[in-house]
Amino acid sequence: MGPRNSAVPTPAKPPQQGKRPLGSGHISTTMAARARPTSSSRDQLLAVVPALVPLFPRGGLQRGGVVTVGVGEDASGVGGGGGGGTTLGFALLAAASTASWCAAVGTADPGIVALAELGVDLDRLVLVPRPGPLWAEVVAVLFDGVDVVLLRPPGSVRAPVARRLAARARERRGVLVVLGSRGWPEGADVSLTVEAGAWQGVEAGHGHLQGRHLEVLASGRRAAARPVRVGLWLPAPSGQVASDDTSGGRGAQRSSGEVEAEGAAAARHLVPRHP
Amino acid sequence: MQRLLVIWCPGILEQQDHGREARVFGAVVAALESFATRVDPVRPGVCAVPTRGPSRYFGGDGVLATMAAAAVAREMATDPVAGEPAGVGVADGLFAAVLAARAAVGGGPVIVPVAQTPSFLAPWPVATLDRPELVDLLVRLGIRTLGGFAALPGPHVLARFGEEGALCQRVARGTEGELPGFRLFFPPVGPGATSAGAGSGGPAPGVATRQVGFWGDSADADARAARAVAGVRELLGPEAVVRGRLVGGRGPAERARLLPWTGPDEGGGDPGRTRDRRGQDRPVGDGATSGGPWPGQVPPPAPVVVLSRPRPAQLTDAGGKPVGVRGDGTATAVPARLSVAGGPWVSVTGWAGPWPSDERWWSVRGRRRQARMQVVTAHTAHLLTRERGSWWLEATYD
Repeated sequence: MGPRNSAVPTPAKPPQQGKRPLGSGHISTTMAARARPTSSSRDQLLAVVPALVPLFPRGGLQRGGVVTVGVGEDASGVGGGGGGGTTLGFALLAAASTASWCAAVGTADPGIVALAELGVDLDRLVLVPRPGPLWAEVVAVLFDGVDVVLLRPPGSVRAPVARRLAARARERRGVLVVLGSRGWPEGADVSLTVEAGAWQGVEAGHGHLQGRHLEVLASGRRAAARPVRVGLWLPAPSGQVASDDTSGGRGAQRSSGEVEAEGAAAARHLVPRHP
Repeated sequence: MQRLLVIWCPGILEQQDHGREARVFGAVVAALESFATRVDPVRPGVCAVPTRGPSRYFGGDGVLATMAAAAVAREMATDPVAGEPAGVGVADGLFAAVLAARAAVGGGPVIVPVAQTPSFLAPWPVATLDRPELVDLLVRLGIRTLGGFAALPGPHVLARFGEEGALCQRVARGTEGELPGFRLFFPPVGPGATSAGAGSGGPAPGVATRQVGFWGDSADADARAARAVAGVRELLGPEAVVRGRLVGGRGPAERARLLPWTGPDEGGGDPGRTRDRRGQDRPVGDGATSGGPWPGQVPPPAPVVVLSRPRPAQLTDAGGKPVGVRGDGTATAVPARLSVAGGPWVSVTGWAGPWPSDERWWSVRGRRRQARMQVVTAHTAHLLTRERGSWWLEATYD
């Protein structure tokens, strides 16, 4: 529908893209679909948007598990910020929030517009921006009623606390996504590391930020033990996540029929109901 | 403190015919939503509308209150029993607005002028605080009105009545907007809801469970989420849990709001009802076309970190000379180095803008923004704001 900017490759399968002309600034929260599969709450997997499917051995967020999101040394900006970790962390919630309650704890100043552009359903996202010293208790309580908790711990996490929170996620069949993997002392079921990123669209005084291309390394335990590297647009010009055509083949190596089915299911969740 | 219009429906508060009260209250809320962007059900029979946007749009609190009173009266007329005439009040903060609405029952809307909440509250009896033990002690001390309570020295109140007493005093003084525990979650759900409303004499649990029906399909998931949020609010206080909502505006900070959590919204159970209007990119009270592009708006994608308090930044060219913005909106030098809040200097590898941003009356912080600029550094990108001759870090594309 809308014209796409040629400076950034168009992803192969953009389920939500082309909704609006670049630069119009129009945002539709309803692009995160309202369709809520009735069976999803009993499933073992929570959907992720199609572009992120290759990062996960089973193609989605495994209930009861821990996912860490970190930024590699050479991708980290001065002072630890930047690099794309926050965007990737919230992107993991996008598809899940269409069917499940999600929460973000300790992400002090969330960019709400960006979250909506990523496809996060704001009506099903509980924000606790500044939990203070009780952050671990907050996470534990949230797992009573929330399927995915995105946590940015205030610093390094002591091992017993990390173990307790991981056990809590397992017990409640939730998913704990930890931002800042360096502060997390325990292993993770899936560990995502942003390895390199570059913004496109801005030159000396011209253009505007259009998208960031980055590579994400996924590793972890068991099924995720074999590392996978995926190229992503995070965000793409629309603000969403898009897979990178050039690395799609590599990501697909780990795909299976199950993964594709899951991806298709995720895509279905994201079909806008309000055109 | 947030300025609120409150509808107080005595018939719904007191009636025991739950299905009927729920239906009438649901109709009242829907009627208000036809012209107010946001309607927060506070507890059965009480709902609140932030007036800032709608009052500007319609021409003042008085006009808005009259519209609300007419809309509510229409709904009330459909059920003579539950639909006992409602009161409409406007004041700063929920507590004062509820009292104003209570005072308005049987008459026209009561509007407490801006900043006159303390004098409005002063004559009300201390019993309105709904804290029987505290009220008992105060009355024995000879203090019968909120004004008398407000006049007590703060440290003494804290020492004698503890944190809760001090909070109640701030409410009585009009410096705090609402009493904890007054709000109930919607949909209220059995034990979780009653504990959230503890100490406030809330309705019986039966009321809560019976109401679930009209507030959305309210599956188990929504109820569990509400309970979890109630637990977090008990840990951290009611302000700690927020939700994001999109509104119109130019900069990332102006296009979104963090609002106190009031409960699972529509829950998605009834998507046709209010979802489109409340979830969409709809400017609040500015009269602009919904979803239209905003002149001067920063193009997407939006930054994922938007600072609630912008941090001072320095931007210089390669020679260390500060970069400014001319009257015609162009940069006075080529940005080459950036330092945020006195931190280390980093190289600027790319930049775009500046984009002019006029001062407009709907600007959130009411500040004059001259321009915005996107600046790319080694591994991240920032949005800088030029304001009063200085650069500020407003947002980061992390």
